[in-house]
Amino acid sequence: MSTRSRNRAFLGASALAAAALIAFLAIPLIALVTSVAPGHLPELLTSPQTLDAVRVTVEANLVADALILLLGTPAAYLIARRSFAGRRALITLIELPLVLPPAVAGIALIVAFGPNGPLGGALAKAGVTVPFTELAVVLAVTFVAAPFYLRSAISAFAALDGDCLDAARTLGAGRFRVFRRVALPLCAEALRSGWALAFARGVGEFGATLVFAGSVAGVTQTLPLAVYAELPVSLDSAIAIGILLLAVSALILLVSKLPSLWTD
Amino acid sequence: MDRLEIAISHQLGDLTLELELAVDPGQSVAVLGPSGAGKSALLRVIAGLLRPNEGHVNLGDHCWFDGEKGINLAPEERSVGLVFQNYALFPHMTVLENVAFANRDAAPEMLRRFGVGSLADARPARLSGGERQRVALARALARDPEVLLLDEPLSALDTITRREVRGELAGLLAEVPVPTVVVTHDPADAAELSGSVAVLDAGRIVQRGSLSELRASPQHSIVERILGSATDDER
Repeated sequence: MSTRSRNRAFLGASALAAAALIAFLAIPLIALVTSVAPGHLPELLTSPQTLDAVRVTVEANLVADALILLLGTPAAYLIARRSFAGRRALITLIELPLVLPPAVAGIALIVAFGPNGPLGGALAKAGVTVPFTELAVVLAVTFVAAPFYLRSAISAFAALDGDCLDAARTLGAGRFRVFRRVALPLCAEALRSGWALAFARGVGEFGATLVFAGSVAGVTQTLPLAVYAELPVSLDSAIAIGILLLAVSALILLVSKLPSLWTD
Repeated sequence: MDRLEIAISHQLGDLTLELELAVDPGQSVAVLGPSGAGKSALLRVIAGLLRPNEGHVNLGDHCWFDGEKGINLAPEERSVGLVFQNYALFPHMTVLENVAFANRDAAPEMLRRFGVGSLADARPARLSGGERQRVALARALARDPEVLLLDEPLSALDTITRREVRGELAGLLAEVPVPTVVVTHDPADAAELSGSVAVLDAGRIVQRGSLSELRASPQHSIVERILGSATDDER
């Protein structure tokens, strides 16, 4: 076979692989969106159970994302900019929930926050029960979503030009002002896309929530849990919630890529 | 204006930085030495960005660092203007915002003084090497520091710009009333920017004097080697 025909064969095989994969990824999504008449969507999405699931999802993710941003940003800055023994091990530990099966995350949270757990015991004495409450949904979402934000934030802060931070100190800025005026704005884009990933993961959270918080309508049932609960009852309702979640996911992806969408 | 006095000892990997240096108000001392001699570390110690193992850093009666007494003022508590080798301008701020970061009220006047007033709204990425250096100097001096430190101030410039800027910088340093330490590896920079040169090798000052004195009677082989070597301009 000549070089030219080998090149052509490779190009053809690659195009075929790409077409097959794109079709496999796109067809289920198209099927989902087209399986319910658009006119029925408002009715299906305004059932009391779905509206409750929307409320639980929004509330839990608002609180979880506030926790992730408020605690995660300074923590990532500290881990990225200080050298200490065990730093690499700590980063690996932070990243562990990324690859942990969600059900395992749920079990781990139950063990920790259950009445006999190291954290749950103390909370139980103070009269606070965590498992199977809305607080458990918040903690499950935080547990699985935080690593996405932390990972982006740590690598962005670590890549900062140390001379810029040092220059700011010699210009009279204390550590907090350097963080606020120099480090945060320089890492804003990476923090935003890390947050978008964490938010998407949090909104779609299923396994850890089911194990740790259950699927109690109006209390702990989030939208992904509602899809599962509606499936045997009303396929159309489950599909409608699926379309809603797909739209939210697409929007998050779009927002996180907005500045670079028009480049190659 | 006060005299800057440094006597420190610090272990930096394999290098032991062990030196004493005093700089009078209005005096500019060039610390000349090969790479890895500890020149930048010395500036970081003075600025408070690197805590030495032992010794002291004093400005007149003010103690900035004393290893024995456990005194170590943070960089923002020392009155130091430090111009970094790569200038370290904040890329997300305009020229005016960079200087205003140090001193909001003085920023417009500093830009005019350094001839970069027309660049107030430009971002650092758009500036030439010479312009960046002037902005970095304006920013470092905007707080009226009591000590000025320059880390290889000309090394980021191309040969032609370097010759022009060297003369400008020498004129400026002659007017600065505070102790100034200029770190460089180039004897031509040292000669034009400072009356007094301290040759640093492997963490120690091996000889100090004017460049002509050092040339006339070098007391160490490294002094001969450095002064005998071609300057960046001549290369």
